Amino acid sequence: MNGGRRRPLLLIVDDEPLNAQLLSEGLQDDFRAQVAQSGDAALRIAAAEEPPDLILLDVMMPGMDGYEVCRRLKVAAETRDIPVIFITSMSDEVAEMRGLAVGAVDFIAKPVNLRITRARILTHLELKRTRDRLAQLSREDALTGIANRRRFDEALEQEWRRSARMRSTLSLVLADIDFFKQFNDRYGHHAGDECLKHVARVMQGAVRRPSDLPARYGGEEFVALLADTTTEGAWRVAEGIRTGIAALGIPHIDSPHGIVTVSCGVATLVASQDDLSTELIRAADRLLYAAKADGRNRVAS
Amino acid sequence: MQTLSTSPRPLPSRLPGFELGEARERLGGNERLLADLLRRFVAEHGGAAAEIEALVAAVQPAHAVAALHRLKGAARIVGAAALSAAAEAAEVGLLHGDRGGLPGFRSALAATVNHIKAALCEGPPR
Repeated sequence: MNGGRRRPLLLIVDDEPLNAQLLSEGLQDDFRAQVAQSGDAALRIAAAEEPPDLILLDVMMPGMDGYEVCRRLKVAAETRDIPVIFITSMSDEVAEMRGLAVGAVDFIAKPVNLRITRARILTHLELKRTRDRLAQLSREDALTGIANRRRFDEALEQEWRRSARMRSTLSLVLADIDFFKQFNDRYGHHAGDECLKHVARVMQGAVRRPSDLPARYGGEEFVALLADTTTEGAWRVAEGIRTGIAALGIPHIDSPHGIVTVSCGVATLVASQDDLSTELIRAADRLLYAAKADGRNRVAS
Repeated sequence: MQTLSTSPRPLPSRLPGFELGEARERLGGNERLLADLLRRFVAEHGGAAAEIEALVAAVQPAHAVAALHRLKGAARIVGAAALSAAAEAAEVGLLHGDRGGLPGFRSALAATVNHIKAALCEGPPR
């Protein structure tokens, strides 16, 4: 999860000070620890600026018990992915099933054995890291590192629904590298890959808002999904992409422009419940075709 | 005055009424942590008998049972087996309206606290 060498951060939730001290002091060589003595305090700390990497949660607490704390952690978007291990003296199956039902990943019995606890924490942190990495890989284009088609499709569906709900404008820039096949044939696939990476970087630099999503759509086609953006705003982004790529000055002797260029189609719609989100792509694609037919290295909107 | 956390003195290998070997095993042989927990036990729970008896006298048996349950758990953490057993007996008794286990619990707690203080060299055993 955290790329650095910093020790993972635990949140220890236990109203018994001895147990909290046992865990925080006993595990301090491997982990940093925060302690909460109540469910309320636990929820507050878990949602703070540096969220814990894992939570050790006592089941039996006065006031809000561990089950309720876990249930609330799993509802909130910012805490739902944090693994929760229950600490319990109730070694009965009903308690265990109830814990698993509210989203715990594991159980540790009291009185706590530090070596076992440490091993289980490390296992669950490793699982979490793997899961996070896989989730990231499945949404990222391997070559360029920007969002891939799958991530774009998800975002498009989401923004399409939001546009229909809010009656807000949704824009899409579809950018295609001109004469890319000839570039590959002339300069080789390695140069082609480098060219794609340059274009991806320009796409990333051309969008401004956190909600804007540049992505590789496939082959030499890129997209930028722009929520709450008018035609004029989207056209400016597309022009930024086009001029940014021309400014790289990547030689391309088989293009009439002499350098690598892109053509862009820019579509803007207010989504309707009756249409599919592919309507936006189709519209941008038509305009991209027009830009190509019109001589390339241009934006059609 | 020196405190034990800055100047650790070896804990005895055994204490009457304790299962220190088992506690050490759970703590991964961390003697410093064992000493810290023993000290914390006295600070947090040393006065529990009076509190629990006050709850019983005030006819709040549910609170007294909860307090005994909590103490039983804390005693287990530091390996205070005799105290843990006495707390459990008093807890089970109170659940059935029987206060007969309370004196045994009181003396077990007193003995445990004294043994801990002696082991930590913070007071002579009586």
